[in-house]
Amino acid sequence: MARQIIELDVREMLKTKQDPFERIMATVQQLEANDVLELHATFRPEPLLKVLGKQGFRHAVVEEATDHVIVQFYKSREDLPIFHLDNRGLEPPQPMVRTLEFLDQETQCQNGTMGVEIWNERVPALLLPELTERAFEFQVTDEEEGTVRVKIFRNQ
Amino acid sequence: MQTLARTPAGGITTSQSPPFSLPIRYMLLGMVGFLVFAVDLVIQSSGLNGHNTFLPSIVALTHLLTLGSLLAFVMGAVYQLSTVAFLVPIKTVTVAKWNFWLYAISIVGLIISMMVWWVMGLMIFGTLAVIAIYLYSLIIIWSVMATNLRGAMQWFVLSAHVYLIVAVSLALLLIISFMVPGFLANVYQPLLLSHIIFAAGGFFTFLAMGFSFKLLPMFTLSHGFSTSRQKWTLILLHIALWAFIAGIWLNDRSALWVAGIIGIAAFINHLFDVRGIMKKRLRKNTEAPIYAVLIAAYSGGFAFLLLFVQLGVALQIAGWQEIVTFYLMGWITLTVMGFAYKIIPFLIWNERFRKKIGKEKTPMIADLLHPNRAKPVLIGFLAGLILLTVCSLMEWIPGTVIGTLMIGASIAVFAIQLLLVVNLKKVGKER
Repeated sequence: MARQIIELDVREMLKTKQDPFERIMATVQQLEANDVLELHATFRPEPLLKVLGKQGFRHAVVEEATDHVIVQFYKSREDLPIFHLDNRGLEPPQPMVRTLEFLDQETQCQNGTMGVEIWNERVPALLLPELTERAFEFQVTDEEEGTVRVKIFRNQ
Repeated sequence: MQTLARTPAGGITTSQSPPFSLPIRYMLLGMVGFLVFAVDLVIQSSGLNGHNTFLPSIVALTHLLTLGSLLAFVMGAVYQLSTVAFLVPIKTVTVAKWNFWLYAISIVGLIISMMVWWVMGLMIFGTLAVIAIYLYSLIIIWSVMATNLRGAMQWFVLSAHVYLIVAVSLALLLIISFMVPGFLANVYQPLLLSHIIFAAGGFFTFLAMGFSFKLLPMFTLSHGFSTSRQKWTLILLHIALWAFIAGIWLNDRSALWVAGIIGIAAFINHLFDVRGIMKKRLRKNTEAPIYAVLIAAYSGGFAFLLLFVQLGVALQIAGWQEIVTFYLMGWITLTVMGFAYKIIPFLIWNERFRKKIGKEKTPMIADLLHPNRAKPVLIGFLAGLILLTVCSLMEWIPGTVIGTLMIGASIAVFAIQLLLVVNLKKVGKER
């Protein structure tokens, strides 16, 4: 698996007034070129976005609840923030269902200010017509290593 | 909203699909079988009624549908879908591939032997067909047993294949009864009915219901529905089936009544499940093939209701031929047709265009065969079936002929549509 999402949840540290910065940076050091760091925090970590932005990381932010913000950091040349969903290993039709649910519920995807990149084990053939029907565009890249990447976005 | 993009490190992998050439060869046989069946059905339409079920040409016609079309197609579909539904590979693809030739040759020989009523041919090709079906069933049972996924669907599929083994074993006993006078010849009627019940009510019903739990959510993109009823449908179906068998062998009408009631309950329970899946679907449009699958489930329940009424009116099992025909057509054939309209374009797209997407302009699945083109075919089939059933019950021959012609024409168009999607010129070169 050439790319993965590394999950780091610092909500407990933040609630107990600990500083998670060192732990976050230690995790960032472990990232391979195609990896994504998925950080779970209790607020939008503006200073961290700037620090990692200077290191070449782009970010996509999703507010899961008022005290639960998910930030993904990744390397990319594109300006549009991209949220990543790793659907590999999920039992069909979960990869397609999970993607559609995310797209249907996330307003940033609806208004075109954020895209989604899904990592599947195969081309989600049944999903593609649904994306077209919902006016999303997509780009499919088969990495030939058991990973098919589908970038989904809506033109603003 | 559950957005956690969890990394399935060391997790299961779902890429277990067999090579394309395995499922497609069985499905192609099934499609050709459907076409030949449709032509034969049209040819024989004027002679079809419930009173000549045992004519060799009608026996051959029935098995052209069950073995030459439905089972052949279903075998290919099961080889493909088991890997997706249970996340396991087929245990022996090589044997499954070679077994195709044994199955195809034996089925052709068997159906011709039925047409000319050559008993030795029935014995030879029947034995070969039984061996091929045993092999197929054992490969599937062996493969599905290896899954780590637990749930009612696994037991539906396993039960189906155990009942298939029983059904074809009984068929062999039936053939022996033609050759050896004695005990078997004396129990011919219950043997025949048991064969039909284990095949139609056992194999096809358990399989259609079991895979519906996976295929309906796949094609409607549904999730989050309740699965708690599935096990009760499974239990009710088993009870109904064995109550039938008991009623037939013990000549006990009350057992048949119980079987009828429990069978209706099983289908009602199944319909609640189907409704639950449809309620939670994310796909906005429900296509004609999916409607066909839903109507088929209602037809199955209605067939049990017909049987129940039949038992009440005639106070015996006489008249089962019309009900079996309705069950076979309205429930099993319609289910297979509905899913076939979705599975074949999906399979072909996956094989021919999956690798090209992103690199060149590729068609969508609907471009191969738009679901709307299934609509008139399925409506024609259903209208023909209703006409056939009503006119058979009223014993109005012109109506049964028109109904039969409509069914035959619909199945012919269905088979041709699928064969065009497969494209015989291309399929021979594919792995």
